[in-house]
Amino acid sequence: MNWMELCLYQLDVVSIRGSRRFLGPVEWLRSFLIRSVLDSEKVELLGAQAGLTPNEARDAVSTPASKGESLAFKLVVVSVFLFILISAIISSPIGAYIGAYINEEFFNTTYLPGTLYGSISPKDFR
Amino acid sequence: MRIHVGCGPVYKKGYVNIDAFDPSVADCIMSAYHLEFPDDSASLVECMHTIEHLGAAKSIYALAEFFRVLKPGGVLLLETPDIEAAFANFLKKGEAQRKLLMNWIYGLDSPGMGHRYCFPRELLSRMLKEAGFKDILLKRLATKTIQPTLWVKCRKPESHIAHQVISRVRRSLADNGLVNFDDQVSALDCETLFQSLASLTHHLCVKWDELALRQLTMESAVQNPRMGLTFIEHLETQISESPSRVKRYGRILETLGALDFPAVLLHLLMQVPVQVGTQNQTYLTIRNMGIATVKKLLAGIEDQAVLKELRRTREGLSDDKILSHFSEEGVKRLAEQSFAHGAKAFANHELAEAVRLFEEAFSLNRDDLLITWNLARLKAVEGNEDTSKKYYEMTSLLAQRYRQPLRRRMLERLRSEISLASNGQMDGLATPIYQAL
Repeated sequence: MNWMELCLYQLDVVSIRGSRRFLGPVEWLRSFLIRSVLDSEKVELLGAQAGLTPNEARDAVSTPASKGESLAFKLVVVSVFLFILISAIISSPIGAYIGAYINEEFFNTTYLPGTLYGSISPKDFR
Repeated sequence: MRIHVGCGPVYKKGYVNIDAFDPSVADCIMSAYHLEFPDDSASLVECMHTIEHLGAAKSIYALAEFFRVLKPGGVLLLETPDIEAAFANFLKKGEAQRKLLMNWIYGLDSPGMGHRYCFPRELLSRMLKEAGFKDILLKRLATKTIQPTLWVKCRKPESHIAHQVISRVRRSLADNGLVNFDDQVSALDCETLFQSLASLTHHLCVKWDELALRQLTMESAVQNPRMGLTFIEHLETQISESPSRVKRYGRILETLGALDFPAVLLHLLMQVPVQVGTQNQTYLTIRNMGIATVKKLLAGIEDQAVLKELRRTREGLSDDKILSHFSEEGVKRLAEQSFAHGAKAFANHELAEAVRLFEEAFSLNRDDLLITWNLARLKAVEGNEDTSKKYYEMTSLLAQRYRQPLRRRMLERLRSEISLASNGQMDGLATPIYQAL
């Protein structure tokens, strides 16, 4: 069983055992993982029996996800990946070092006379 | 006119008394789901303790008939056992009263007197609403006695076009034998499609919408074109816009019905290479292919060539695989039939025939672990160790779908069987398996 089949089985298990409210998202995820049960030769053969040309048959059995849904799915995957990556970097020692550097460089709130308020700095009134 | 449905031995003066079984006092012998009265002809329908004798599917059709024959504003009075109170009382009462309550729940064991289906309040209320009745008043009577009763009074609304059309469709389906009342599972399977088409009918009765008509045509064409055609025939009288378009949709459904399109789709489904656990996906693939064919016909693209191909495919089908309603449930039921025959052949040691029938069942249902399990046993008995192992793996895969502890117990049983098979101990494996546990 490859990883896609494993994911599909787990999704099936969720849809069978889980609450009905998760069926929609589960079906949505399923639609991106399923591969056609037919190879292209068989698609053409069966399509011909149903009066379809090879192209029409291929279109009919292609993935049920629309272009919009496919884009949304990719965005979700990329966002989740980036979130995990950034979280991992921030929580690592390198992240702590980078964080300290950024904090030092850009958010240093230490008061330096004459720099913070320009010409009306308190030192000008001393 | 007032109609007394299921009168039995009770004659009511001023009513047309009808009964399907008891001719003693009835004015006419007719079924509640097949009333021989015209539309909008009765001011009152009284149906006392009758629908529980009809069964789940027939009772839906009976309510539609009551709706059809009632005049706008006409009243339906209905009584049926209060099943919830009857069960509650059964748990509380003594033996003598329990016996009487059993009769109240199950009826009598004589022709037409047995209770096939009793209705909880919410189900009855929903069925009446779906039939189109309004102002539903539902009361529980004599709840503490041995004859607790649900009493219902409801009314046919003045504005009722969509529900009237739907009631007429139901009557036509029953008249033309397009609903198999003798097979409740099949009748209720058809009901799923019917409800979907009925909701589009509601929409079409409000305003002309070609997209809705197109959807009705496509949805029914792939599952049950004859049912779709019946809807369109009755809608024709209501839709004044684009009558030629409506007729064209009807013609396409008529042609697909004559070509047994659902049987053609079943034939295609059986040709899809069998992969374990892909039943839903396989069904949807073939359904999508069917929809593509219907779209092509609707667009009028090479429709003669399409029909020629469909005709050729239809001619190649054997008569035992003609299916009038193509649905996931219907296909699984065919698989169950092949399974039953396969198990019989296996029990009688007709191994080649058993393999053929189980393989046929597997091509119809790729999600049934008992089919692969039996094939694994058969192959082990035949001495085909590799194929047997392959089927056992498939069975293990399907067992993963069950909840614990069932899954664990199934897998344990499978493991012990696999070790028996690999050691050549075939004694326990030469019989069909009917239950996974």
